[in-house]
Formats: sequence, C-alpha cells, structure tokens
Amino acid sequence: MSDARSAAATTVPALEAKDLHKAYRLRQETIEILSGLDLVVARGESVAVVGASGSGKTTMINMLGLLDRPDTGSVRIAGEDALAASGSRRAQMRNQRLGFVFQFYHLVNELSALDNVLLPARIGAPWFGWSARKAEMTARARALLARVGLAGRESHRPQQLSGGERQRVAIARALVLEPDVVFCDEPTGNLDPRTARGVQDLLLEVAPAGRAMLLVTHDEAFARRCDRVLRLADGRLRPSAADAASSAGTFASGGAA
Amino acid sequence: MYRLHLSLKFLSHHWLMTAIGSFFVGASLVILVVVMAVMDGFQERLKDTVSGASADFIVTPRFAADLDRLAVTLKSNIPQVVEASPFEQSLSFVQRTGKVDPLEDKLQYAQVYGIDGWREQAVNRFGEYLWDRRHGNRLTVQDIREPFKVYDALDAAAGTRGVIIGSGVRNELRVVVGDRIRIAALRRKKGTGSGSEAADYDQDWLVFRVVGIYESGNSEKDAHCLFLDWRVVQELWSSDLRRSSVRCKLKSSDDFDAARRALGARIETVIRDSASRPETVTGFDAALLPESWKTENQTLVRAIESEKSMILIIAFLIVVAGTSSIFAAQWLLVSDKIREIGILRALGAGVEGVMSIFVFNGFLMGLIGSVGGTLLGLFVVKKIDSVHEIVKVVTGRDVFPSDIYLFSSIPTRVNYDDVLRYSVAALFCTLIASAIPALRAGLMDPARALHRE
Ligand SMILES: Nc1ncnc2c1ncn2[C@@H]1O[C@H](COP(=O)(O)OP(=O)(O)O)[C@@H](O)[C@H]1O
Ligand SMILES: [Mg+2]
Repeated sequence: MSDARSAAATTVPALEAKDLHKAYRLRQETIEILSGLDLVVARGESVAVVGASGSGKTTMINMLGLLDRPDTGSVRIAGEDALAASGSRRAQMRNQRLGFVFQFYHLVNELSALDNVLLPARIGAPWFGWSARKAEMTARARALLARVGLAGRESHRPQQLSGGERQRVAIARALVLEPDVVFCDEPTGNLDPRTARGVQDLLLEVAPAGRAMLLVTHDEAFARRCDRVLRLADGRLRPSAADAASSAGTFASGGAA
Repeated sequence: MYRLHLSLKFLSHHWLMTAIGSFFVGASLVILVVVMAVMDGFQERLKDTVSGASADFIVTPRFAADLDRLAVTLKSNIPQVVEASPFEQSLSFVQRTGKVDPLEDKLQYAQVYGIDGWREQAVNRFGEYLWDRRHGNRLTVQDIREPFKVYDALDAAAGTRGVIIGSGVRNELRVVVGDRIRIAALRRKKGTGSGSEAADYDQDWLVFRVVGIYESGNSEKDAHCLFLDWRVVQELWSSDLRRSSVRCKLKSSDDFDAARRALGARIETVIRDSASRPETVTGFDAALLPESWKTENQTLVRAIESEKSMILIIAFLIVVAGTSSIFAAQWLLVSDKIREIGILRALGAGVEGVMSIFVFNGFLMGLIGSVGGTLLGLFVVKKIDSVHEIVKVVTGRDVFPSDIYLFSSIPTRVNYDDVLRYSVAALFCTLIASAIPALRAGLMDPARALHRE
C-alpha cells in the first residue's frame, strides 16, 4: 500500500483543480466568486494563497476541501475524482485524505486535547472497529501532541489552552490520519505575532512531509516561506508578483524533492 | 463509535438540558404509571363487586334438569370448574306487613334469587356482601353457613322462611333484620291448561322473615333483590316462571372460553347425568347455554372498556407532551452545536453520522427519563397511601374520601406488561422527537456551519 502510494506520488499530484466556477445567488444578484480557478499541488509541496479579504479564499478551500460543491469544474484528490463521488465517499475522503486547520481552531470544547486529536480516527473507524485501533491511534496522537509541544497537556480541554496551544492541537488533529493534503485557512490570523511565528514554524516543519499543504494567509512573510505563492484575484489564481520574481526556482526543486 | 462517544460527551456537558429533557419524559411516565395503576385498581374492585355478585361460568339448561346433579356433573366433567352451585331466578313483588300506608309504601318489584347459601359462598363469596359496612361493620346474618335459617322458635314452628333483602329494598320498605315482609310467589294454577291464558296463573302472598341484608355496591341490584333458599324458590314459583341455572367458579376467570369448549366436548354426558328425564331430552331441547358475568353485565363491561380507551388516549397525549421536551432540548442542542457539526463534517463524519449523534442523544435522554420515571412511578404506586397522606396534608383536603369510595385504601394494580409498553412507547416517541432536530443537524451545509460567526 505505502509502496503504491509513493510510486503514485511521483506522477499523480496530491490536489488538482480545473476550471472551478462558484457563484452565490443572493435574491436578484449573482456574485461570481471563483471563475475558472486552476490549481495543481504536488506531493511534498507547500503553496500559499494570498488575496484581499472577500476575494474568495475560504470559498476556494471549501471547494477543494470537499466541504461544498463548485458549480462547474473538477477536483481530484490524489487522482480520485471527488465531484463524481457519492456524499459518503466524499466524507470518507475528507476523513482519510484531507486535513484542516482553521483560523478559529475549531476544536470540540467537550473533548480533551487528546480526544480532539483522536476525533478523525474515531470518525474513520468502522462501527465496532474502534477498540481494535484505539491503542495504536492513541500512541500516535500522543506522539503528535508531543511533536507540537504539548506533551503533558493531553487531558486539558480547549478552554484550558491558549490560542497558540489550541492551534497546535488543531494541527495535530489535521495530521493524525496522515492526509494527502492539509488545508490551512489563515491559521495564524487570530494569534499574536510571537505565537504566530511558532505555529508557522511548526506548520512548515510537519505538514509537507510527504504531503501537500495549501495555505491561505494574509501574512506575506509567512507566504514567502512556502514553496510557491499564488494570488487569488478575480476568481482565479495567478503567481504572486513577488513570488514570480524571487522564488521561481523553488518550485522545481521543491517538486522534485 | 464516535457517535455514541460524542453523544455522551454532549449529554454530560449539557447536563441541565439533559436533566430537563429527561425530567419531562420521566414525569409523564410517573403520571402514566400511577394513574393507570389506580384506574386498573378501581376497575378491578369494580369488576370484583360485579363479578362477585355474579359468577365466572353460568350454565343454563333448556331442558328440565336436576340442579344438584347438574352442579356435580359440571364439576366432574369440566376441569376448569372448581365450584358449582344451583341458582334460580324469578320475579316478584314485595311489601311490608302490617298496616300499609298508601303514600309511603309503594309496591316494589323484586328480582328473586334462589341460592344455596353455603355453596354460593364458594362460587362468588356471597357472604362478603352480607356486611353492614356503615353501622359497625357487622355481619347481618346470624350464621354465614346457614344464612336463611330462622331462629325465632314460633316462626320456625309455623314454617316461616327467611329472606335476605337488598339494602335498597330495606330502605324502601323501611324494615330491619327480624321484621317480616310479604312476597308474591308466582305460580301456575293446579290442573289448568296450556299456560297461555292469564287465568292459568296465580300469585300467593307469603310472609317471610328478614334474616339478612345484602349490599353489593351495585345500587340497581341492591334496590331490587331478594335471596331465598333455592329449594324454596323451586317450591313456590312454577318452573315455567323461573330460570334455573348452575353457577360455577372457574380456576381463573379467564378460563371461560376453555370451560365453554370443555362443556361442548362433554355435552352428551352432562345432559345424560343431569336431566330429570334424560330420555325426553332430544334435538332442540338438548342444549345448555354458557354465560359469564361479562355477558350478564355487558353494559358495565363495555363502559369499563371505553373508559379505559379514553384514559389510554389521554395517557398517550401525556407521553407526547412529555417527549416534546426532548424535541425542544434537541433543537436547542443542535442550534448550540452548529460549529461542532461543521467540524465533524470537515473531519469526515457523514450525514448519517451527525444524525446518529443527535438521535442517540435524544434516545439516551428518553432512556434516562423513561427508566427513572417508570421506577419512580412504581415506587409511588407502592407507597400510594403514604403519598395520599402527604397530598392530604399539603393540599389540606382529602382527594380520596374513603366514605365515598367504600375502600379504606386506594386500590392499585400494576400490570407490568402495560408498564413496559408505556416505557417502550415513550422511548419510541423520544426517537421520533429527536429525529427532526437530528435531521436538521445532518442536512446542515458543512461549509456554512463552519464559518458561522
Ligand atoms: N454562503 C455564502 N453565500 C453568499 N455569499 C457568500 C457565501 N460565502 C461567502 N460569500 C461571499 O463570497 C465572498 C468571498 O468570501 P470568502 O471566500 O469568505 O472570502 P475570503 O475568505 O477570501 O475573505 C464574500 O463576498 C462573501 O460575502
Ligand atoms: Mg476567509
């Protein structure tokens, strides 16, 4: 299985979107948010998307993350056509192939840090299959929590953690099932600069190892630390002016790595 | 099993909502269990009163039968019959003796029952109805084994017979035990023709001594009944003016159908062994009619049944009202958990998964409520008299005056099958009540749920 995966990785991109269109209809007017968006993210690559507020970055993540459907276009996750799949298959793909980190952490307040990290694993387990996996998954979740610097905080609830710590739990949760693509929608948008810096380091360190990362941010410095920077404007993605000039070579080397 | 896991987490973190949701289901079940137990208790007492005055199994032959032999035959041929006693029924008039005041003393019609005092006691606890409950709770006959015995030496010498009269008859005639009354015995004139002419019949006014008072609680019956020894009725009333039966007690009053089938199977033996002249009993005459106290009291039985279905409808509405609290609690919970629903969907939970969480939630609330409510209800039923005392003290009024109901304690009867049915029905209602909020949760758009501020 892992052999097949790594073999496929060389040829099939982790995420591929073609000609995405999405418009919201409000009473009489129709606002077109995405108009022919194309994107390919290779395995191991981190891509940052910048753009004005309201330009449709979150909408784009909803489409690519299979949380919503575009009006037209195609989305492929590790080669699989996500729009042709059934609702339950799409849920399964979100569970196993995709990870999410949101601006407002979106942890479940009723669960401890450890249980939050374990949540995707629990959701993905068959009806009576959890007890067989529990030990292995718990060990993995503990290791991830230690990796994001939260060893010893496993039983703490989100309310007992700071913003930066919550986001670290969210990162561990996004990684627990080793997804193909990690989506981050302004992951540091709600943090003070110092904390943000730590979270950024962590994301760039852990996320792209063998997978793809799509990062939406307002922080130009953070964006520039990614392999590629794209700008969302007029419903399309274009290489960012600064990025096109300074790091054109990074893409080639990052993609080959 | 994240569904159950999250459901339990939501329940324990929102314990106030859980408590409120379960409380109303529980309260509705307490009401249901207690009300139905008291209703059933009353019905049972009422049935007891009526069926006690009647019998489980009443066999009336179309042919002339020796009732003593019929009783023995039924007892030995029908396995369900435990006791059997002869029974004669006819009509009459009664009047007080001495000077009759035309304004005060109306001529009373009466149902005449001829019984064997002691065997009747075995069939339907006849003796229990011979008590004067209002005045010192005394037995009104001298000796329950010989209820019709006349103790006055002069009367005994003169051959005056004893009669037990209904309490209503006593009130109308203004007599007490020991007084004499006149009873009209109806008979065919000796040596007359076919019996189709009015002139063929006659009445004899005979004097009886009141030896006991009967009170069943069924006022209609108490107002018009006279009990005589069955041989006296046979002697004084012509056979075509009375109905002769044998009344039986069955092992259980539910055995009626089995007893009727057994009678059908042994009909020839029963007829041969009980008919006065078996050789004359053929064709149309060779018939016995089995009845129960239910066929004798059809109106009352039907009234009880319809009352019971009324109560059940009300009970159902109580449960629906109780379980609607689950609906409200679940709806609030879903509104409160929109963000979490979005998170779960993003992490890969399907529509079914999210729905299950909330259905489990409602179901668990319902389970807590219905188990708790059922147990509490059963406890209240067990301690109903103490609860009654508390209610009396708290409200300052007796909600259950014993002199009106004639029972010293509140009658209850717990039908455990019914109790189980109520709690299962309540659970089923909570499932339905939580299905709609759960559907709302499941069908929520995950993208919007996640980004709702
Ligand atoms: N569900 C929706 N219905 C209508 N309009 C929406 C909806 N979601 C987003 N929009 C609109 O789409 C535009 C893009 O939103 P969004 O993708 O959140 O932008 P960004 O994340 O880049 O700030 C905004 O103008 C927003 O008002
Ligand atoms: Mg946004």
